[in-house]
Amino acid sequence: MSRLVPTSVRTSVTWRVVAVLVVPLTVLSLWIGLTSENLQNSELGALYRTYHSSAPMVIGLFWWARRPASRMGPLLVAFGFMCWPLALVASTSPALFSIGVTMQSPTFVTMFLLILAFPSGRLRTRFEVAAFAGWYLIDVLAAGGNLLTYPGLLSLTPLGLCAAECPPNPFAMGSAREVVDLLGWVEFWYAVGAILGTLTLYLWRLARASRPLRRELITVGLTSSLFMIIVVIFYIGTLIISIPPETAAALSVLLILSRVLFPIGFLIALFQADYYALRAGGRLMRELAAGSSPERWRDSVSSAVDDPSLRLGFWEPATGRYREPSGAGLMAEPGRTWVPIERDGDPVAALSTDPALADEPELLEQVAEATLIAVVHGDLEGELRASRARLVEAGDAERRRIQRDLHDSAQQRLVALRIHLTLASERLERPEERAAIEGLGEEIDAALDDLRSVASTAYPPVLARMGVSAALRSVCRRSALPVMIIDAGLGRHPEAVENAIYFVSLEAIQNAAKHAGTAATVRVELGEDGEGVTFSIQDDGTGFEPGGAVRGQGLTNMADRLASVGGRLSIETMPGRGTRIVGRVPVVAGSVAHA
Amino acid sequence: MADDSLLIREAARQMLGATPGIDLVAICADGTELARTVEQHRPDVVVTDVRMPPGGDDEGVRFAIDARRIDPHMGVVLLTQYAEPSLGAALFEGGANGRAYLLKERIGDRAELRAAIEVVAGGGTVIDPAIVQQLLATPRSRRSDPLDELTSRELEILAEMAEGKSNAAIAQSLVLTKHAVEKHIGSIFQKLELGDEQDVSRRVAAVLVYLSKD
Repeated sequence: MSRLVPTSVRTSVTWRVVAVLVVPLTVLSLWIGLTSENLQNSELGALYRTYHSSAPMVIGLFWWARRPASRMGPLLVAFGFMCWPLALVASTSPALFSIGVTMQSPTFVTMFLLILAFPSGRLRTRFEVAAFAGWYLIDVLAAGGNLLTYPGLLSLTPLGLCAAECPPNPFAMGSAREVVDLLGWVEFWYAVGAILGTLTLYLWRLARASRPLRRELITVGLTSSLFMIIVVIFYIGTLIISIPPETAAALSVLLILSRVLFPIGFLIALFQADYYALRAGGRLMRELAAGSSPERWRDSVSSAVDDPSLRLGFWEPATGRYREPSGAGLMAEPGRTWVPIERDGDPVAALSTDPALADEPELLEQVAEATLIAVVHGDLEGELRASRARLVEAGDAERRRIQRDLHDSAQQRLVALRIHLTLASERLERPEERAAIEGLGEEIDAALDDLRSVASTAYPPVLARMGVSAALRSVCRRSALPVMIIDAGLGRHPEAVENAIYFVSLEAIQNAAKHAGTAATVRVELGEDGEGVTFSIQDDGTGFEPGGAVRGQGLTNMADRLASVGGRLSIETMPGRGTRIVGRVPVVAGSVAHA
Repeated sequence: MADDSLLIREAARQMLGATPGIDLVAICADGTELARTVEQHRPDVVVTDVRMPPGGDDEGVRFAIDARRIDPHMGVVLLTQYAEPSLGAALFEGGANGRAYLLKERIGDRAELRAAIEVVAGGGTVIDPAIVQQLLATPRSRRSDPLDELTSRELEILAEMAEGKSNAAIAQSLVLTKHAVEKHIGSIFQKLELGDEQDVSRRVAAVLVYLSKD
C-alpha cells in the first residue's frame, strides 16, 4: 500500500485534546443560549450561535485528520474557538454580553483569512500577511475602543437582537467618542479595501489554478462570496440606508443561511477533492487496462493531475536512482513536490510535480497507487513476454540443433554410404547385381533429399546466412509454391526477430496455398521503416468469414510467436476477396543484427 | 581433398584413390591443414567441403577465393550439403573460372566427380544439376519474367549450360545438332539480355548470376 503521508495525526495529542473539548464547549454554548432571556428567538439563536463555533471546530478536526499536511484544519478549529464567545451575547451579564458583541468583528476578519488561506491554511505572500496583520490591528483598536468608550453596545446580528434593552457596557470608561468614531470609519474603509482585495486576489488565483484546485476554489468561493455579498447588502441596508422591515427580514434570513453555508463550503471542497481523485484514478486504471507504455503513462498521469511539468521516474535497482522513460535521472528538488511510491518499503517509482499539487494529497495518492499498479502490471507484462520469448528461443534452438545434427551425422553417414555403394557396385561383375546396387544408391539419394528437406524445414541455413527474403524465396522455390515475394528493402535483424518473421510468414504462405484454392496466387511483401518491420501475405483466393472462422491453432501460434518478439498480427479477410495477413514487429534502434 | 568428417574422408579416399586419371595427393581435415598442404604440394585441383573448421560455414568459399590469388590455375570443387543456390553465390562472385559447386553426394558418382574435376582443372565451371533445377523450377517474383519467354527447349539448354556443359556436350545430351544448340543459345542470351559470350565459364557465371537474382 503506498502512503504519501503517515496518518498518525489522528492520534496526536493536540487533536485529541481539541476533540475532547468540542463537546463541553458545545453544551455550554447551547445552555447559555437556551437559558437566556436576553434575546429574541432564544432557541433558534442558541442553535445558530452554537453552530458558529461547533461547526468549524468539527469540520476543522475532520480536515485536520484528512489532510495533515495542510494547516487548514487547525485554522478552522481556531476559528471555531474564536467564534465561541459569540454565544455570550445571550448572557444577561453585561460584561459577558459586551464581550460577545465585541468578538463579532474579529471573527468577521478571520472569515476572510480563511478564504484566502484555503486550501493550505497559510497565506501565500508577505503582502497578505501584512494586510491581515494591519486589519486585525485596526479591528482590535476599533472594537477595543468601542468596548472602552460606548456605554451600551448593541447586538444587531440576526437572531441576536436584544429582546428589550441591551445590557449596558461595564467596561466603558472614558469618552473619546471622536477618536473611536474615527477608528470606526478607518476600519470601515480598510475593510472595504480588504474585502475588494480578497475578492481580486481570489479571482486571480482561480484563473491561474490547475483544474483540480480550481474546482475546490470555486466551491469555497461560491459559499463564501454568497455570505460576503449578503453581509454587505444587509449592513448597508440596515445601517446606512433604511430599507423596509420586510426586506430587512428577508435579508436576515438569507444572511443566516449563507452564514450556515460558510463552513460547509470547506467540507464540500474536501469531498470534491476525494471524488475527483477517485475519478482520476479510475480513468488511469482504464488507460492501464487498454495498454500503456512508460512514456504514455507519464502523459496520462500528467493530464490526470493537470500538471504539464510532471515528471515520472522508475526505480532502477542497478544504479539506486529513479530514471525517467527518456533515460534522464530524477531526484527531489526544492520548489517541487516529491512523491515517492513504494511497495512494502521498496522504492518503485517517484513523481516530481508542481508544488501546488501538495494541496491535493488525495489526487496524488490515487495517482501514486495507479502508478504502482501500472509498474507491477508492467513488470508482469514484461515477465510474460520474456518467458514467452524464452520458450520460443528454446524451440528455435532445438530446431537448429536438429538441423545441425541431421547434417553433421546422418547426412555425412549417408553420403559416405553412397560412396561405398558405388565402390561396391564397381567390384561386382554381373550387370544385374550392379543394377541392384545402383537401385540402392538411388534410394539413398532419395533419403538424402528427404533429409535435406526435413532439416531445412526445421531450420533453413539460408535464414541465418542471408535473411528472411532469401530464406522465403528458397523454401517457396523448393516447395513449388506459387508465391511472389517482394522485398521492399528488408535488412538484417536479430535472430529471434528474423526467425519469428520467417516462420510466421511461412505458415501464412502454407495456409494460403492450402486454403485459398488452386487458382490463387500468393503475394508476400517484406519491408521496414524507421519504427519496425512490416510483412504481409496476401492471397486472392476464396477468403473466409471474418467473425466466423475459428481461430485455429495455427493462427494463434503465429500471433504468439510474433508477440514473443513484441510484434502484432492482424488478419483481414472477406469471402471471395481473399485473405491478407499483416505482421508488424517494432525494432529497437541499435539492436545487434546477424553478423 | 578436404573434409572435416572422417567418414567422408575415408569414403573419398577410396573413391578418388581408385579413379583413373586422378592422383590423390593429400587428404586434409580442416582449413589450416588444407592451406599448408596446398602450399606444399601445389595440386591441380582441390576438392573441399564448404563448411569446416576453423572458419565454419564459409571456410571452403574463402579458401576458393584466396586460392585464386595464390595459384590462378588451380581448380576448386566445392562440396555442399545444401541444395541452396544463394549460399554458393559468393563463390562465383570471385570469378567462375575453375570453380565447381556440387552436392556432397556427387562424390558417390564417379563419372560426375571425375568430369567436374577435369572441367575445373581446365578452367571451366560446373554447377550441380540439382542446384540448377532449383533455380529454374521456381515461379519468380518479377512481373514480366523473361524466362517465361523461353521455349521449353531453350529452358533445357539453359539448364545444361548452367551445369557447365560446352555446346558440343549439350548437343550430345539433348540429341541436337551443334548448330541448333548455338542458335538456341543465341536466342536465349538475347531474350535474357545477357550479351553473347563464348567463354563457357563466363557464360555459366552470367547465367547463374542472372538466375539467382530474384
